[in-house]
Amino acid sequence: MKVPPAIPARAGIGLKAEHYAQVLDTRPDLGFFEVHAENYMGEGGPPHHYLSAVRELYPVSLHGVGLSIGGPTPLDAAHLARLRALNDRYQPGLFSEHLAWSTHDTGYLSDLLPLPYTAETLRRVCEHIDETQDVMGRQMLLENPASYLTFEESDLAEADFIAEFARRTGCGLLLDVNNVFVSARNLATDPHAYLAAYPLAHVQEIHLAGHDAVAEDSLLIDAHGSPVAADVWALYETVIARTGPLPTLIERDNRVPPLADLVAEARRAEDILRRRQRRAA
Amino acid sequence: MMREAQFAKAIGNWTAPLPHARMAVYRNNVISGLVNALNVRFPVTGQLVGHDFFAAMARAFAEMNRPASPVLIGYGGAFPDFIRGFAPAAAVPYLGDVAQLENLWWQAYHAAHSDAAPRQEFASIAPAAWGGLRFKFHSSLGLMRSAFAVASIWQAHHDGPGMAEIAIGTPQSALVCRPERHVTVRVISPAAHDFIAPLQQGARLAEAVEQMAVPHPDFDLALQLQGLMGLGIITGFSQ
Repeated sequence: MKVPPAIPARAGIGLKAEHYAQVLDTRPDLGFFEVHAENYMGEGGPPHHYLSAVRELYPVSLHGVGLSIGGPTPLDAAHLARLRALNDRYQPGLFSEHLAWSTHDTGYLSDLLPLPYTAETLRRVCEHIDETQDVMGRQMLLENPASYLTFEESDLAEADFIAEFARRTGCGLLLDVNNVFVSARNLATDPHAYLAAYPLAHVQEIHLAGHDAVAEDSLLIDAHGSPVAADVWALYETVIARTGPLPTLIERDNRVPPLADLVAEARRAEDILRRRQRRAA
Repeated sequence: MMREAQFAKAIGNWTAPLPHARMAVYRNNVISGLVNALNVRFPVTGQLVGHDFFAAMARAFAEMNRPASPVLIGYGGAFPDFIRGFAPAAAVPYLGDVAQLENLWWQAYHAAHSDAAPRQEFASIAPAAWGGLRFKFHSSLGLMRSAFAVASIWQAHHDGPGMAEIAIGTPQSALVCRPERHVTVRVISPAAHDFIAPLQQGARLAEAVEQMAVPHPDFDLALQLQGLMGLGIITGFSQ
């Protein structure tokens, strides 16, 4: 029998192939697991076996990286159909994608690429969100990007752009606090000003991850290869103080550590969530 | 600050000069995403040549081979052939074959599930009808032959004996399959390879047996059939 799909306002971690068997054997006390949709688009085998088993024990959230919502080209109908099939099969509590693009006329570009924020890009992002929500038959969340540069064309602030597509489409938001921090540092802006303008009322999930520093350019890279930084934890606390407890994911995609390390980081997030809950009580 | 059109043009051409220094982050992310995908798919190939050599080789492949789809599970099928033609890897002549074996492993790992046909199903077919049979195989089945001890090299990087104990220049045939949850890699005889390969292509049993006579005069059909049934990878029969 499956546990209910809803993602609780607790901490979760990404489900990694390295940890499949250990998760089932030790059943760590976590609020949920998140999976990258594209890693489960093979036909069968251990990925589906383990995800099915984990889904029996935990709520699962589905996070896509390749839909290219922010791109100028039409959405890939075959890819949308694959997402729909995963959604139907695993009934994830949340489904999210990125405010970014990756489909290029030379092929798929394996990164989350930036878009200018204009009336025109807003219109096409809204169309793509509407189409995705129609095909999936559910609400989606969209995640704010980690930015390394800005476009001359942009005439809307990112937070205002996000507020506007959330208002027009009824989608929810995934707030990546590390991305807020990394972008602010790279673009020499204030993360608190960003959050003041950002529509926090629409946030249904938080992402926390580590970043890498590139010394020669004083640039921060959203690398997902290290523990969450102290500054990002502090920013997360200010967010939770305003939003109340929200499902919070510890992301780690590179240099994946032992399961216990990720569970310990999830505990740290849960401590912050619980403190906020007590204050509210 | 930069223009959107400049960005889109420069991100699609990896050798073009960058219009903005900050664009290097995106170009590096794109390439490292593909190198990582190859590293996950070809781990033993990577161990054989070391991290830096593998990364440079994977990068050279990625620069010429863009994924068509965001499902990177399917990316890298052409990497073994690329390695065979990659001059700096010529000192490791078995590298492309090991990569080919890892390709078969990866395909088996992600193959659709299907149940093996019960043994009685074959037993219930009259021997007179055997010659006309075609076998349906589990989609995880992969076969290869190599001028090197490809399966032993692969096993040396898992739980087999170390590389020092392998006669690398011994030709081997390998069979990869995933009848249930775990992928298995087996060394098979050249006769087993030559018998199963046409069956996998849809040949009738009589045709597969017939082409064994010259290269494998001591071919033992009963023994080979028994071995094949024991693998649990036959999912059905048709006449």
